[in-house]
Amino acid sequence: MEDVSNYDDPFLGLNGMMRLDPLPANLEIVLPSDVDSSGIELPDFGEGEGVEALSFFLGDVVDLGSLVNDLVYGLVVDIGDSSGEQADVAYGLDMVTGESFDLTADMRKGSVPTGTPEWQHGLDIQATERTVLDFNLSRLPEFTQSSRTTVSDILSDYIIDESEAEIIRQEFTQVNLSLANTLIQFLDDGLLTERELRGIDVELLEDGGITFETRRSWHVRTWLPQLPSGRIEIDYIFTLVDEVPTYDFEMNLDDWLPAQERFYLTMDGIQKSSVDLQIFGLDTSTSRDVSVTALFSRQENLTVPRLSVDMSFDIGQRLDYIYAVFNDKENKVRAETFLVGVPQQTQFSATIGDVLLLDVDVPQEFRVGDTSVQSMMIQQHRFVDGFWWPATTFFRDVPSEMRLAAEPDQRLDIRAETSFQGMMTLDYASNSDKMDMYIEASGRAIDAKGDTLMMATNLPRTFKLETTDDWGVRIVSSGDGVEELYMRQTNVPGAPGVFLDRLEIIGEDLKGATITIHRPLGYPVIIIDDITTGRLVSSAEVHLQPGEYVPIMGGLEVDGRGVLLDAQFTGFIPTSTSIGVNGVVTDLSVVSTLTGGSVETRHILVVEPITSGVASVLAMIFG
Amino acid sequence: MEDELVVHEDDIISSKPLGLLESSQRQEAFAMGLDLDDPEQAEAYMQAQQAALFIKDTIRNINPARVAIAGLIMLLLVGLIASGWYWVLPRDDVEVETIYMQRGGHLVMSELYNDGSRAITDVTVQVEFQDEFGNLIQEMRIDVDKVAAHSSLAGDDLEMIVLGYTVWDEYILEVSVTWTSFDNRVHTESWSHVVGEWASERFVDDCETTTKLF
Repeated sequence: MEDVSNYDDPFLGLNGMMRLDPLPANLEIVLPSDVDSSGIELPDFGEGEGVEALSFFLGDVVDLGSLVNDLVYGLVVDIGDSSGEQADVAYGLDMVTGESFDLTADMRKGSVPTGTPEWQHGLDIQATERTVLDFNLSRLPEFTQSSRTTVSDILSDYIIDESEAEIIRQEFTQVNLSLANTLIQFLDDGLLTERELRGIDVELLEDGGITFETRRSWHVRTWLPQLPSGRIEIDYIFTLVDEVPTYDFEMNLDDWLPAQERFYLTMDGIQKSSVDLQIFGLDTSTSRDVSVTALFSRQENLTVPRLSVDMSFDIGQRLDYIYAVFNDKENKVRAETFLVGVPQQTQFSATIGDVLLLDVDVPQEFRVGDTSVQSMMIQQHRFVDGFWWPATTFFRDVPSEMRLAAEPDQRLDIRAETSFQGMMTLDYASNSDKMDMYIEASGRAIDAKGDTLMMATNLPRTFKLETTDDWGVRIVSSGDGVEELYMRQTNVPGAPGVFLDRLEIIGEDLKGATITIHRPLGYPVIIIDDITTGRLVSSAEVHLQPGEYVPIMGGLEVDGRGVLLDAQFTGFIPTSTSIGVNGVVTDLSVVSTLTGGSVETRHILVVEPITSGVASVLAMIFG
Repeated sequence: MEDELVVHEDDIISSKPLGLLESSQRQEAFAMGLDLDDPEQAEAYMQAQQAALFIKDTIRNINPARVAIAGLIMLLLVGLIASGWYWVLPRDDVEVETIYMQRGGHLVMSELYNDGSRAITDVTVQVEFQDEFGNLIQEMRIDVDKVAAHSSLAGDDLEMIVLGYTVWDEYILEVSVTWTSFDNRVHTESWSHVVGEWASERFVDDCETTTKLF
């Protein structure tokens, strides 16, 4: 296919080569069009008679012909362009072939430079999106030819770089277009995004004589050998659901025999993001039916954008690895995942961002023991203050049935104890007690103060961390509880003048507890109930800045020492007491250890203020 | 018994000292820096002794029951004054407590306390969450006709979670309250607090207090 037309518009024109060998017997392609279907009027004879009616009929035929022509033209020269506005759009491919065939294509739309796609088993599409400014000269009487030429030269590549910014700002000012100056800084990359447009009054600009639209040029290379005989269906639908962009992808292949063990899908430059998907371990000796449905959505009006995936797939075999990278260049977020040992069939949904929601269900026949994925890594980087900050999660022996929800508690009441209000709750349920978990997140990656590290081995089948009706927090787990747990939190500016440098907790056989805080005369007393088993070691480092409350002390920093008293009761009988400075080592239930966990123990913990003060002063003097 | 001579020790002081007693008195006077041979100083010594006798007599008349009754009366008096000030005296005392926490966003909760002895009317509490340049990001507001004396105002309208704004920047909490006091005066007060540096903060904003004695 070659379009030799000369277009003033560098985003128009489709050129390239596509080879279908052999050509499918039936081919149906669904593409979006600019042509309004409501404008189609079928020819009729109207109410006239004789030659008059015939002339009207012929006129309508000509109109219909030109409409069809516009439709074909629009599709061929401007396929896959961006409308500049987020609106529902659908693409589809439906083929029926009598025998296996190869598809090879190298197509380019428009003449605006794009990245060069690689030839790979799969597809690589490189796109360039640009915002095209249009000036309504009837509203800009002072926009002279010389100014127009200057502005046009600068905008020839749609990018306003630093050296051009001042020139175009002067030109805009001269023609009373100062209100468009806000656009200049955002066009340093040639594209105005939805986020950048939030602060701009588009209607005011339009009244002033400036309109703009986003256009796209692209270059695609695909090599898909040995596509199956029978039906091939691929659908892609974009919709806005409650203002959240949602991408629906569906693929069905009958009797596919992969030609290569690896499959690659790469997309770059569409909506300032890139996607790279790599699948390893396709069996090239066995034909199979493949079905994949996936619903992606991205909610960007949050500090940490939410990426949601709702996926169901049957690949016809167990895969060695899947590796995927999603790079959101506008929000500067990079999400990466690596799965080892992917089951043949899975229903999977996940929401990753400020909350973590994960549902996995693998049918019985495709499980390996109780596990689904052998191991899984999810990493998200955010670019903040000039650096990339990672949040990394590793799972090992992921259960074949799993529900995980980590989201903030929504119950609020200023009249109640506020220590646990709005905290992150965790609800985990699975069919296995073998999963190990590693979570490491720097504060800037998850938009929270403080860095977090957590490791847990052999998580129980169910584990809940939830708030209670009396504004405490409850930890409940099944079986023998969490076998081993390590948590560390660092660099938390907790409250004015109180900076938590480090908090570490190591525990084993932690089954459950209910924590409430009481404040007799305003002084906090921590009560931990419902403990039956477990050992715990915790330590902390805190530094205080008394200058926050007593300004005369200026920037003095004091190494805080807290003397913690831990009184342990079983029933009303005191069974153990521990004292620790900046930490505690305790058998959570001495009696239960002896009785096999049949009785519950209560801990009453108090930070003793006088000795804590003395210890802090001594620490300040002697270091 | 009736024939028995009973002499109280206090009577001994008032009688003329003899022998060992006289010598003891002289030593005591000497310790006080007085000379009993000097009539003036002897007079002073005698007056001191009589004052001491008076105190001892008075103390002898005080018993625990009397002390308890007096304490109770004192307590009632103080309680009466305090409760009069707390409940009876027309008094206007309003404060706004605001709690800011970083929990998956910016969590802000406020409560208005009417600690005065009279209800306040036409009450408006507004808390604005602004960026560091004062641009409004989100606000919460409540308007009520009346807040009774010694009660508070809180609830869903005075709770908000601000999402989409990083916890690593500084923001301004603009707290403002408007009410009409018992003397039909309209009051408006506002405070600004910079938040964001610390993961949690608590602010208590006291309004100007009005008390009318007459």
